[in-house]
Order: sequence, then structure tokens, then C-alpha cells
Amino acid sequence: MEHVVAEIRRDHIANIIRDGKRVDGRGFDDYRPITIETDIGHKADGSALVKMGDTQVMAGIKLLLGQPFSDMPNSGVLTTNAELRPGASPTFEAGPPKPPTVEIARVVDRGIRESGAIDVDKLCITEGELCWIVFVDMHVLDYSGNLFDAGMLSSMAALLDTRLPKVEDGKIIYGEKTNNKLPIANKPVETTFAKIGSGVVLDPNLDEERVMDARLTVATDKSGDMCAMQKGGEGTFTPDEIFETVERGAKKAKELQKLLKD
Amino acid sequence: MKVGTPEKFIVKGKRLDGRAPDEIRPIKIEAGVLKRADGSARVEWGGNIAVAACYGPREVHPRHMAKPDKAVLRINYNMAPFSVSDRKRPGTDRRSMEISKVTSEALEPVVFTHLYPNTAIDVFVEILNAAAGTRCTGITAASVAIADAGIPMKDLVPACAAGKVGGEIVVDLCDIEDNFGEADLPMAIIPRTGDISLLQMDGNFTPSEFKKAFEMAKTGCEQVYKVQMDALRNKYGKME
Amino acid sequence: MARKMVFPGEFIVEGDLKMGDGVFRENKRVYSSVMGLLDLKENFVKVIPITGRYFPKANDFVVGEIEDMDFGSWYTNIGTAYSATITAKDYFSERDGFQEDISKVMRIGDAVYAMIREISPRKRVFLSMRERGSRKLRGGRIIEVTPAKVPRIIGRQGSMISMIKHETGCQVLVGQNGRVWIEGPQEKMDLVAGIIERIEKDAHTQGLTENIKNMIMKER
Repeated sequence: MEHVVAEIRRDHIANIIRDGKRVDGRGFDDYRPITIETDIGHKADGSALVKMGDTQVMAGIKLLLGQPFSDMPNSGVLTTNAELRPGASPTFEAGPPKPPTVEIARVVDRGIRESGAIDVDKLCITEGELCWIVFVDMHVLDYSGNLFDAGMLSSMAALLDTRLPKVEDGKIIYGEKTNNKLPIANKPVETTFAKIGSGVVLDPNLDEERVMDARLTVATDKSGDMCAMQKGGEGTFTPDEIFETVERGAKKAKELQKLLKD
Repeated sequence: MKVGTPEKFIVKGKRLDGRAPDEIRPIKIEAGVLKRADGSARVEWGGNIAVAACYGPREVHPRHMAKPDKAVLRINYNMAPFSVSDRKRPGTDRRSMEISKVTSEALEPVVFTHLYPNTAIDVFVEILNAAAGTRCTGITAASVAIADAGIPMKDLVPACAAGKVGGEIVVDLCDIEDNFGEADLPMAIIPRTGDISLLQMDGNFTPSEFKKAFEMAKTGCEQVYKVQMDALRNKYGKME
Repeated sequence: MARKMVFPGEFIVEGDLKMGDGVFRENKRVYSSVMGLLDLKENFVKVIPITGRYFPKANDFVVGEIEDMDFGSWYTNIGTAYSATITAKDYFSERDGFQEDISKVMRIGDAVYAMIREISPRKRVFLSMRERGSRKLRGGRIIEVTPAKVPRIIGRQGSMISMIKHETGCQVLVGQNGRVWIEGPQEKMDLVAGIIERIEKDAHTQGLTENIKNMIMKER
């Protein structure tokens, strides 16, 4: 996503990590400051703006009525989408989504889906005929590293913030919300680690992400089980690094889950 | 008449949301809200929320768009999928393209583009929540973002609409007035000279109604301008 | 002396004064075109911008990062709209002789401190590595500052930067494009980065040099 990075920058970040420190003074398992603001705009059925350091991702939920898939006539439908808006980074371009955008959307989607975060059976209104379709849209406003964790956190916060719109005769009455929430059954979060030289650090910032060798994202549900993973980047992890990272991720997941209010 | 049209738009001098005919909705502007952009602004106006990110002057991609004598000023207006009642499918559409074009032209007269030949000045306007008047909110945000990026300009450009609802001329239409009103006139001005840099209209005005709406939109712009300047003063004023 | 802050479109003065950057005239009236500090003299007016991207000027020293190269030139990113070229003849001096394979001296990913030799009418930027002070950068780190704050980091006649170098023992090269290269022991580099961040933040406050001196003393 970024241009050529000067070796000086790469070496400096790797050297400091080798000494057990990080460029911005954080510990290896520290997040940057995180804030979650919900109920941003009234047109979305649910919304949240997550700031993770200088990264900003807004997620909005739109609910539509539609037909269940024929192979799952008793379930509602979940669709997850991300947009890396060109205003978020000098390297993002307008136009159709590119592989990094699709990857973020799909990894967040897997975390939500596989953890059973939404009880989709409760989204069915009439078997085989009418159900809720939940659109999760992540809108990246400022890219300063680690879009996976910020994206997942904003999506979950927005889902928890969602109130179902009013329905009459099988049609949504826009502008009138009910007090009914989505059937949220789990609270998955993602924790992303970057391998830079000899060290593996949580929540890479922009400088770290630009020079990282490889990346590992672990989605953990509220019971501490894993529900999705994604390795990225051109480099590799050793098996030991993987097991250690997954364990560290599960610990941090608890902290993130505390930030998600019901 | 459209289904759902209110019987009356103005009762005892008050509009449906309680405003007087010549009163704009509350507006809040913050400059410098994004880290990566060279300049940025967030505008909350009525229920509208817009974030603008300005980059430039920078290299032009695609290269054939470069102009040898000046910078190209490109404003890209985009609505987030969740910003409207019916989810908007991501990607550009005819409406966004038109708004992007007229917004670029609204700002072009004030930006010193000739100082930066063969470059681009790009502004990305994201509408995060739409409540009638997003183009005016977007222009207002874009202009503060360009100033925040330190790009030389002759003035800021505020925008505001006026329109006709239930036969009355009012400023800064809200959602319901926009949906069921009879006319809408969004405008952008260059406050220092009083010149008009954006003007669109749809609906029906008599010539005298148009004159009244024009003056109301212009006064609205002048009020928005004060809030734009305050946003810059809040961020930079302490540096004296 | 505290200078007045002005904003785009703000009226400054009426008359036929000579104009520097950051101002424009309409009907004899002079206005500011940027946000910045007003410099108004009897017969001259300009506004010193306090924000904005770097715009290349001849004879400026900048920190560039080599992004691409071919058989005869290196292409560097100097953080501006125009990529900057270093041709082989702007690198090799006659005394040192010419190297056929230019990748033996500098490669993609290297960083340099170089002077802007020329800006062509079509706005191509050419850097020279033959000027005194220019060099390939080895080790250390690069930090970014707002280009408009660079003069404060350098200080009057280089007073600020000399003090920083002297007190910390680090090598520091300040590019007019807002990139600063620092080299020294890790904790000293961190100290310099902290100082520069502080200068950037407090650039327009009174007694800046004194405050920075105190900051360094405290770290000792």
C-alpha cells in the first residue's frame, strides 16, 4: 500500500524492537489509545467511530428486508463491506475495491459470522420469504495502521448500537426506529500483530506497518476461543511464534471486549 | 402532491423543526481532524456530517489530467453507504459526479492553482450522515480543509441553500422540507467580493421569490463563513 | 516581537507596497492568501505561512529517499508533488572519477541529504550531491516535521540546531522539506526527536530557545 521505504527507517524500527522497545514508546502488547463513539448519524440503524491512535474507522449498519437464501430459509443475511476511502491515505485511490480492502472486509466478516455474533435465525421473519439483511459498512477515514482491529471493533460497536427500524406491511418505515436491538450473541474482537525483524508487536502503527515482514490477525470470541485468523505479508512466522502470538492475542481480546458496551 | 406531504410547513412563523424562516440549522466546524491528510475539516450541520480531506499540491494521477499552467483542483464527493435511508451502494454515481464537478468549480475561483503547475489538489468529501443540504455541507468542509492544508486562497467559500416550502421562502431546508418543498436553491459565495461560485436550482420560483431566496441563501452563506473562520482561528489563532 | 496572525482573504493594507509570498492585491488592497504571521514593513508586505506542504526552491537542502533508478539517474521522493532526480553528473565529481555502474554507490532504499540545484520550467526538480554538506545518509533515523516549522528548528543563523547538536552529541541534518535525519546513540536520538517535536509544537511561543535548553538540562 505504501511506496518504497528508506532502509534507514526500516533499520531504525527493527533495531529499537530488537532492544525490546517501540518507536512510539509502547510495550509489545500495548494498544494505542482507543476511543469508541456510537450513534454518530441518525440515518444509519447503528453506527460507531473508532479511533485507534491516529487510525479512524467509522462503521454503519443498514437493515433491509429481503428474502432468505434458499439453502438457509430460516436465517437472516449478513453482508460485510469495507471502503478504504482515498481521503484516508495518500496511497489510497478512488475506484473499485482492491485486494487489501476486500481482505479486511472478509476477515472481519469471518470473525462476526464464525463466532455467531449475530443470531441469524432470529433475523428470519417469514420462513423462506422475509428476513432482515444486515449490512455492515466500514468506512476508513484515516489510515495510520491496523485497520483489522479498528474495523472489527467499529463493526461490533455499531452492531451493538443498532436499533431495528419500524416495519409495517413488510416494509420499513424510514426515520422511525424501535427500541429492539439486533440479536447479538457474541462479541468477537480482532487482535493484530506485526512481525518486524526479531520481534512480534501488537497493533502496528503506520511506521511499523510499512516495514513489517508479516502480520497475524486473530479473532477471539467472548469465551476466549478463536473464530478467525489471517496471516498476511510477504514474510513468515515460525510455529512457536504463531502459538505465542495466539496466546497473547487471547489475553488482549478481553481488554477490547470490555470496551464494547451492550 | 407527494404522499406524506405535511399540511402546513410553517405554523405561527415557526417551521416544522421550530426554526424561523430565515434561521439556519446549528452548525459546528472543526479544522484538522485527520492525521494523514495535508488538511482536513469536519462539519456537522443540522443532521449532516461531512469530513473533508485535502491532499496537495501532489503528483497528478493519471498523468494526462495534469495541466502545464496550473494545478488541477479535484473535489470528490462521496456518500457513505449508511448515510442515507436506503443503503447507498458503494461507488460513484451520476449524482455524486455532478456534485463533485460543481463543487470543484465552486472552489476553483479562490484557489491559487497557477502557483502549482502540473500538480493536483485533491479534496475528498465523505458524507457520513445526510439530512438535506449535503452539497453545501461538503463545499463548506472542503474549503476549510484546503485552508488547513496551507494552500493559498483568496477567501474561504461557504455554501447554503434557500428554498420554497408551502409557498414560503425559507433558508437551509431540512429533510422534510427538502423532500416535499417546491424549490431548492443551493449557493456558494466568495464573501469578500460577494461573487457567486455555485448556483443550482430545481423546482418553481416566481422572479420575485427567486430574488428573496437568493438574498436568504447569501445571508446564510455569510453566517456559515463566520463559523468557518472560527474553526481556523480555534486551530491556528493561538499561534500569534 | 509577536506577529499578527492572518487568515486567507483577510485585508492587510492598502497601497503600492512590494509584495512577498502569502499575499495578493486587488484594487490596491492587499490581502493574505494563507494562514500565517504577518510581516508588514513600510514598503513591503508578506505572510509567513504556518502550515502547508513543502514547495521546492533552488539551493534548499532536502532529505530525499531513492525510490527508483535507471542506468544514469536516481529518482528520489522528497515529499513534494514533483519527484527529484539526481543525475550521475550531479553525483560524481571530476576528482573522484565516474562510476559506470551507479548502483554501486547508491541504491533504491538509500536516503540522501542533497541540494536542489535546479527546477526546470516544467517543474522537474534536480538535486545535486556535489555541494558541500550533501551526503548519503547512513544509519540513524528520519523524522517528519511541518515544513513551515523548519526555520524554527534551525533557529537564527543556525543557533537552535547548533545548540541541539552540541548538547546531545548527535548528528542532525534538517531538510527544508520537513525531514530531519538524526544519528547517535539510541537514547540521544530519542531526546533529539523529543526536542524537535517540542519546537514544532511551541514554534511560535516566546522564549523558545530558553525552554529547549531547560528541556535538555533536565534530561541529563
